[in-house]
Amino acid sequence: MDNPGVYTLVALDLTAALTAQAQTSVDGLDGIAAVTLVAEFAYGSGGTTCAVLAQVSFDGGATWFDIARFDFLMVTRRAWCVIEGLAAKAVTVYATLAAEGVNNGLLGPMIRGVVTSTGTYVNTTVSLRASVR
Amino acid sequence: MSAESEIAELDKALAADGQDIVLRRVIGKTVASQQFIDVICRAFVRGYAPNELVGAITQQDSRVVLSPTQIDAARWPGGQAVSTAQFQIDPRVPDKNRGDLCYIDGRRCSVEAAKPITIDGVLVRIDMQIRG
Repeated sequence: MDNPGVYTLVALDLTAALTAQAQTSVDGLDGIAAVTLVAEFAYGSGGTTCAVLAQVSFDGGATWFDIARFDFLMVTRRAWCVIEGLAAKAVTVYATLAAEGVNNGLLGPMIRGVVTSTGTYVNTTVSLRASVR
Repeated sequence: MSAESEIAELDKALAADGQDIVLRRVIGKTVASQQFIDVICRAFVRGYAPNELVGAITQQDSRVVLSPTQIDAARWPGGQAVSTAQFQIDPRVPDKNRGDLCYIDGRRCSVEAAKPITIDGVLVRIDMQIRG
C-alpha cells in the first residue's frame, strides 16, 4: 500500500463541548488492507461523554463513513480495534455507528477522526492513532 | 529554484551531515493528562558562535535546521480541527507557545523560536532556536 505508518487522527485537549468536530484527514492510503486504531482518553475532571469516530472516504473527502467508534465517560481509558479490508463481506446497509461499534472491512484511501463531547472537560485529553498497512 | 528541488537539496545535505532528533508536541496541561505526538526528523544541530550570543540567545541554546520531509510523511502533528479561517498558523511549525519540545541525543530541549521558510507557499525548511 501507499504510505503505511502510524498517523495521529485526533489529539485534543478537551474543554467545551464539541459537536462532530472533524479533524484534518490523512490521505494517500491507496491499497490499505488493515488499520489498527488506538484511542486514549486521559481524564482530569468535569465533562460527561466523549465519542471519537474514525471515518474513511472513497471520494476525496466528500462523503465519510464511520469505521469505528470509541466512547468515553469520566474515567481514563485506552481502547483499540482492528479493521481489516481483505475479507469478503455480504452486501450490508451502511449505518452510522452506535457506541463502541465497528464497520469491519470498510476501508478507503482517506481517514480522519471526528470528536463529539458533552459537558465541559477540564485537564482531559483524547487521542486517536491509526497504524495503517 | 523550485520548492521541490530546495527540499531535495536540503534532504541530501541532512542525510550526509545531519542527525536524527525527536520533535514532540505535547497535548494537555497536567502531567496526568498529557499525551505526546512525536516525529523523528533529520536535522542540523549547531551551537551558536560567541558573537551570536546576543539578546535572548544564551550558551544553552542551539540552532536547528529541519526539513519538512519527515514531518509531512508522518502528517505531524495530525489531528487538527478543520478550520475555514483565511489565515492560519501552520501546525507543522514548532511553537514555543504550544510548549513544543525536541529531544537531541537524549537531551530534552524546549523550542524557543521557530521560523518557517516557504517558497511559493510551500514549506521548504524550518529554522529553530532551542534551549536545553
